[in-house]
Amino acid sequence: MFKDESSYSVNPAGEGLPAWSAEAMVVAHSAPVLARMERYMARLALADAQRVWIRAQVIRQLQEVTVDQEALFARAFASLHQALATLGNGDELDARLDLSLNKPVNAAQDVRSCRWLQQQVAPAIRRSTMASLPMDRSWLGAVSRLWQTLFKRSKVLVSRRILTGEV
Amino acid sequence: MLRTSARPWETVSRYRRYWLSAFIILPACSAGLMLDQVLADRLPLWLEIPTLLIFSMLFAWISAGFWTALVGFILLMTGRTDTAPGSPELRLAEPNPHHKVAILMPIYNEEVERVAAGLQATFKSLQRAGALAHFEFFLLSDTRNPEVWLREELVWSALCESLDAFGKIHYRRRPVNNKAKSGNVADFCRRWGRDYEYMVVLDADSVMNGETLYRMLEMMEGNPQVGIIQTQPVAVNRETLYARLQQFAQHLYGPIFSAGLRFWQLGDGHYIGHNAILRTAPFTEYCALPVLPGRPPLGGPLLSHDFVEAALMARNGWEVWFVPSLSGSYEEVPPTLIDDLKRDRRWAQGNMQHLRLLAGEGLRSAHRFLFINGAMSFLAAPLWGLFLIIGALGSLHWAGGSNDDTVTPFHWGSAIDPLPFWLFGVTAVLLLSPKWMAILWVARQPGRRQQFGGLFHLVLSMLMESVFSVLMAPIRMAFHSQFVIQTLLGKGVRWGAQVRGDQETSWRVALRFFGWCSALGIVLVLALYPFLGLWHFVWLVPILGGLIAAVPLGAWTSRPALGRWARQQRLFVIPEEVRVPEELQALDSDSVAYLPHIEGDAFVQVVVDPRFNAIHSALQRNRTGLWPRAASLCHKALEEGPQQLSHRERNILLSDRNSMLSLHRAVWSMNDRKRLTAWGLESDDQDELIHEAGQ
Repeated sequence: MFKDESSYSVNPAGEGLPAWSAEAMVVAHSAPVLARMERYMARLALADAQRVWIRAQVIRQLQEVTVDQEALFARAFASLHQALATLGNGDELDARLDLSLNKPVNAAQDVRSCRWLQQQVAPAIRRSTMASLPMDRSWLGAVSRLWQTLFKRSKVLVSRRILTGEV
Repeated sequence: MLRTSARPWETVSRYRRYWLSAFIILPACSAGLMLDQVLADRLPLWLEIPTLLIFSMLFAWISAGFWTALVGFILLMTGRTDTAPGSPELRLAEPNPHHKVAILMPIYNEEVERVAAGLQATFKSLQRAGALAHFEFFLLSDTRNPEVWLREELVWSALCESLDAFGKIHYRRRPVNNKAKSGNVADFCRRWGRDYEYMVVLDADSVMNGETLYRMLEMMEGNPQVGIIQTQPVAVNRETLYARLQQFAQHLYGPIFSAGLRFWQLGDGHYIGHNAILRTAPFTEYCALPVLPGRPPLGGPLLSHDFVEAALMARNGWEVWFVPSLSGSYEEVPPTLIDDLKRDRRWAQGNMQHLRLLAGEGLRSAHRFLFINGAMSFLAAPLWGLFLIIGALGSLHWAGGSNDDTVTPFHWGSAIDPLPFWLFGVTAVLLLSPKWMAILWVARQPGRRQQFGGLFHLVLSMLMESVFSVLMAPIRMAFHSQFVIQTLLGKGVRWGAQVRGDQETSWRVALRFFGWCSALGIVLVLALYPFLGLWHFVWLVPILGGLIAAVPLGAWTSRPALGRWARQQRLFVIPEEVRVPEELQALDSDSVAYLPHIEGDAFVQVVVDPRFNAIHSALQRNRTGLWPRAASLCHKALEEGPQQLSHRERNILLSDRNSMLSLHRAVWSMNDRKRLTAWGLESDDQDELIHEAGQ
């Protein structure tokens, strides 16, 4: 489940400070990439602390590898999803789903959000058969049955089973 | 063990139906004989025999309506609801806590907000009634349009979230729409029917009161021999003049016809496909619809399923009861004459198909009669048309042979036989007296009178509604005849979504749709008047006048402004407008204003928006069989833009979770501005940069 600022230290005591200049370089060179990441996170309605933490993760990942401009967006987005997955106990789809459904942070849950939603949308299937029964629709048959009813008195009024509790 | 003795209500109903048959057949034969006296000396045999046959059939048809109304009127005036032995109202039982009811709402490309509002209203009403524990809702979607499908999903999740109804409101979309609505319900029965003792079938525009639903459940629990209980849904909520006329007529005349119908039917009632509760197990076992041999329109899958399902239920010994006394059941009528006729086109084909089941083994006579009655609703039109043509030929023959120049509308002369006037008068009484009976019944109840806007406005509304009915009758006759002929010639109808909103008909559309009616009316006037002369022509004025007025009638009656004006004048007022029930108040558009809206292309949004994408992807499964095709479609979408994908291609991508997740990641990872613009992301990025530069 999600972890808020109480679970995650946004900037653990002084960590990262030595790399401050390298981080600034990344931010300066990847402004459009980070802008898009911000846009993405804005659509997810993350808490501020979560957003800052994810941003830091993305920047750190970009710092660690050297990629050409073409792959920069893909790399950044992959990092963002990786960070989201960390928030969602290993699955970024679950994390996004929890945010979409406004589920409470750290809610106790037996199944993953994705599976839970599938269970809610439709109950478990228990198959029955439903096939049309044979019915003689011919007029000749109808005339024959009428004949029997009128002159042979062999009609059966109802062929339904008597039900329990029925008067 | 089989039961072979008649049920208590069967004996009662048998005698009642004998009387009804006598009341229909004897006067029709008498009227035919009376007409024969007039025609015998004046017409040749080749005109006389068809005239008499058609006249007798039509007379029988309208007299069935009259007797039904008269019985209903007597029952209502004496304050006796029909409680024959075995009526489900007589035995209510506390519901078994383990018995669950599924409320099914089959939808097909519907306006999603309206569906959500109706479902929410019914849900809240059940909540207020304290009966929610027994009920679960199923939105059964047959939607093909991916835009509507995505909106349905999003609205479902928002609705569940707002009502805290996850696990109480379910959503299922069927990618293959086999057998339309009946197939949709059958699919539910096959998948989940076993878990639900009962199901309540609703239409996309249905709303039901929670107390009523609970009462229906009590009736089913108390009467284990009952398979279906049908309520009488009342038409509400429309604003166009046409729909208000229909609503008014249904509210005023509906109760007496319903009471009469119940009197004849008892446990062999009808089912109209919605606003009814059904016992799931026998429905699943016995009510799968046969596929008729041959090709549509008269063969193939049945287009109108409800009457046949009731007949199959009764064929297997289960009772079908129509309980008009159950209030709190609502529906909406088509807003315009055009929409009404489009619906009639489907019904015409469906009801004609029913005639192929007439000789079906084991069907009960009451249901065979319902099949004939349903088919006659449409066959009556060409019969009326034929009767008029024969009548016109007869008049020509008569006018040519009599040489009586003294006959004018004001100077009848001694040659005129009074008998046709008697027949005309009797026919008029049969058609119009139910309207006066309804007025008398309402007038007797002061509270009810006020709910129709007061006695003066009630009578005025009834008279105006009668004028409109008379004017529209020939238009319906022309169209119904066309529908019957089309069906017989093998031209089928396609399943389409119904119009649910108050959309007015433009003059251009009215001209295109009704132009031929007006032209036919004008041609008939020009052709007939010189031959018939004034006296014989006067008889045709109501019919020809209606035909000529088809275009303006179609356009004007579709105006919501005229409908609202009529309401301000207290015309065509219905009780639900005077005192709006809570369920209908909840249909207000504000009630679903909180639901998320999708701006622009829904497919683009479901790919781009991380939240929407998450909900949709979570609801899909990985369709590995689709992956090779889906991969090439993903490539196409990314290379050429989503706009280049067809509905079918979008549906393939949307139904596969892996494709949706891949597209989402690929789009957000793109660096090409042109492609980003196609997904609506480039402007976002620029806005962000501008914003940051500004700071």
